[in-house]
This record gives sequence, structure tokens and C-alpha cells, in this order.
Amino acid sequence: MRELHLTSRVSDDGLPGKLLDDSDVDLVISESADVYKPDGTLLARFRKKLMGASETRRAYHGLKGAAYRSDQTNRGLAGGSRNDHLERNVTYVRRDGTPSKTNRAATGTTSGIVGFYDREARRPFCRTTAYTAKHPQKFAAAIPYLQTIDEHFRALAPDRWAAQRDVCDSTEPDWIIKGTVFTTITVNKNFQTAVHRDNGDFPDGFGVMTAFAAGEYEGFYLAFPGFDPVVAFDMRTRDLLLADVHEWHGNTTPHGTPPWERTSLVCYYREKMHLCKDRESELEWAKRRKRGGAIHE
Amino acid sequence: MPEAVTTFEPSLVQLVPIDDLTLDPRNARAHSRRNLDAIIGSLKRFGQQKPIIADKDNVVRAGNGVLRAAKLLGWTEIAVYSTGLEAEEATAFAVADNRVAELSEWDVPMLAEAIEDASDAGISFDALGFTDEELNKILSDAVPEPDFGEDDDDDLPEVEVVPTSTIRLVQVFLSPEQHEQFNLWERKLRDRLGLDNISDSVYRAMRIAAGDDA
Repeated sequence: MRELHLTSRVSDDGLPGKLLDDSDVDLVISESADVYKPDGTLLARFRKKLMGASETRRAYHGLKGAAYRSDQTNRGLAGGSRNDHLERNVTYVRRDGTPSKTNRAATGTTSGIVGFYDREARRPFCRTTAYTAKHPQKFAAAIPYLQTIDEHFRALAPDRWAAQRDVCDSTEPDWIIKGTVFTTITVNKNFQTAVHRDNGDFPDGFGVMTAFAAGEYEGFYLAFPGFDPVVAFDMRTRDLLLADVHEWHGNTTPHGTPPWERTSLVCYYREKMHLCKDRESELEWAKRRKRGGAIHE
Repeated sequence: MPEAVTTFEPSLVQLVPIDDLTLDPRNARAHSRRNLDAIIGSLKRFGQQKPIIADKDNVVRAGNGVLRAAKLLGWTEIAVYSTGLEAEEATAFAVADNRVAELSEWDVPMLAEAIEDASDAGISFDALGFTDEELNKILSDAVPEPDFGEDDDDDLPEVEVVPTSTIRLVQVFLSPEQHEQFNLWERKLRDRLGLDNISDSVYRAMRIAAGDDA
């Protein structure tokens, strides 16, 4: 087990919205490791081949179709800096470092949400996400995998897990993925996130991430450029990464010759799910909410 | 039946006035608008790079789509190879010419590289006959499964299927006048039925109108 202690924080200047490449990274971590921030708190725990083969295979078939929306305009900074907004998730380079244009159209950058979602202005009710509602059997097939992730989360970051467990306990069970401390899974396919900090998740929780890596590619490392040295994790199939995603992070540019595909899962508790009522009450709330009125009581 | 390795005679390739040529009335290959657009895209970008094939009567035996596309582009001449094949033999050749192309498959990595190079040269996918979605599907279908390793658990638990969301949205499109009237009627209905929200009043109104309101 490797243990790393980062030495200092670096300035935020230029980080938000930046698309990273290999030159931005000092150290790529591709073995199990614990990484600590300069103040001694945990930045990340990375475990190689921690997940079981069978449950991973089943989860892959259950969730791979969830990343079907190509519209990334609601991804905020993760989608890239302002003027780069429409290009940011489709910038790829080939093995020789030259820019790829094929991938721009052909690699199929898509994203989707699995599990449950809280109230929004346009849909002022808590709900199962579209994929989950449309493919309940596929979602169910992935649950043993998500439960194993939860067990590892509990073992590897017990304080963070307990905080998330507490908020789950005060949340209607309708909105918790059974046997986990997660409400929601974001599924990204071939999506290079620009440097961002997560929001909308539980502030005292942790980012819990896995990936399905198919075909031959390099890069796509998840880097944390807010520290010196800049470390990045090479997350592959059956690996598990727990990380403080409230720190600046983003993916490096991938290199590869199609066909390849990299699907990542981010498991989290949506911050406002504890405000949701049970399923039936959400319907009654939505019916009676005044247009333009508050989303929550 | 020709016995020579090749029957090709370079001198039989000529530029022919396009109006002198006739589409093959027995052509078994249909050309959709999409197919014609793809040929047009290719002709516009690359020009005619291989002759069409016509018999001695100037009936096109291979390249009917190219001829139609060239006409749509307003070309007045086109390169034609005049074949010595006749009658049934020419018709059979036309079928074989299409079928042999149909039987080939894409080598996806090679295709990806070729398209990559074309794209780098500023050549659009349209000129290659692909839409972005088609290219995406070819590449996506060719992606291998991740390497999961040996299965390690044959007894994964079956998990209860999660009930789907209890809420469905219905959107109605109305003119401003209809919208105003709708609101008036809906308010009236709501008061008459003793309901406190638009969802219930519209649902009840439909139920009553359908004769299902017991």
C-alpha cells in the first residue's frame, strides 16, 4: 500500500474550468494508495481490483445504457470553461499527441443519472430518474455492486460514511438506494471533466467512484491540481476511488485509437434529498405547489 | 464468358454527355434520397474518381446512383467505361457489382483511423457518407467489454425492483385565447367539484367527459 502526503496547496488561479492534460500531472497513481492533504486530512483512498468480477459485470450491463444524454449543458464547471463550453467534453488527442477530430463526433460523450433526484424548479418533486424508471430491472441488477461499494466506503472512510449514514437515516427510505448511503449515481461515458469542485452532494460525504474501462486507451486520469505535487488516479475496471471531491479535480485528456470506452460512476447522496417527502406525498405537494413558489416548504 | 484475367480496356473510358446515358430500367438497386445525398457529397468533395459502366446502348449497368447524383449536380458530362457485356450478362454483372460491396465489412480500427485522417484534412463526415450518429454507433458497437476477470460469485442476490416514480407530467399547448378560456373553465370546475388543484380538476373533468365518473 502506497501512502503519499501532499506538501502544499497551490493557487486556484486558472484552475476552474481548465481541461487538464498529462503535463499538468506530477504523479499518476495506478496502484492502491492513500493520499493525504498537506493538513494531514484524507484526500483519497484508491484500491485496485477491489470490486468483485461477477457483480461488476452485472452492474456494467445494468448501468452502461444509463449514460445516454449527450447534452452536457447542465454540468457547470465540470463541462469546461465558459467559452469552451461546447467543445470541452469532446477534446481528445491521439497517441502521438496530435488532436483528434474523429473522437469529437464519434466517441459518444454521454452522461446520465441513476437512482433518485430531488426537487427542481421545472420538476418540483422528488423522483426516480428517467433511466431508473424506464429500466428498473437493470437498476436492480446493479444494486449488489452498489452495496459492495457501500461496504468498502464504510470500511475505508468510516467517518465520512457515518456522516452520510446519518443523513440517510433522516431521509425517506423511498429515496435511498437500498442497502447503501447513496441516493444517486452519475454515469459518465467518455466525459472528460474540466477542473471543478462537486456541489449538490452531501458536504460532509465523500466522492465514491468506480469505472468500466473497455478497449485500449491511456489518460483519463482523475487529477487533483489544487495541490503540489499534482496526483492523478488511473481508475480502471473493478477499482474503487474514494476522494474529497470538494477539492479541485478533473480528468486528463484521453489518448487512444477507437474503439474504446470509459464509463465512470460517481455514487453520492444528493444534498437536498432529506427534504423529500415519501412518494405519494411528493405527488400531492407537486399538485398544490403554486407556480413560481418555493421548491421546498 | 471472358477467359482473360482482365477484360478492361483503358481506351474504352470516355467522357460522355450525360444526357446520352439511360438509367438501367432493370436496376435491382434502389437509391434512397439519403444514398443520393451521400453520393452527391462524395462527388462534390472528390469529383468522379471512377467511371460508371454502361453497355453499348449507353444503358448504365453500374453507377446508376452516380449518374442521378451527377444530374442533380448539373454536370453535363461524365466518365463512362463502355462494357462489352450484353443483355442478361450485363444485368447479372450489375447485381454482382452491388452484392460484392454489400458483403464486405468495416475493419473498425482501420475505419476510425481513416476517418481520423480525413477529418484532420478538413474532410467532413458527410463527404464520407456517414452521419455523426452512424459513426458513433459503428465505433460504439465495436467497443469490447471491459476485462472483468474470472467470475467470482455465481450467487449474487436478486434485488427487489424499485417502484418507478409515482408522478407523470402532461404538457398542453394552447393559444393565448385558449389559455385564458382554459383558466376560466378550470377555475369554475375546481369550485364546482370542490378541488384545490389543477391536476385533480383536469383529471376529473376528463373522467366525467369520458363517462367514467361513477
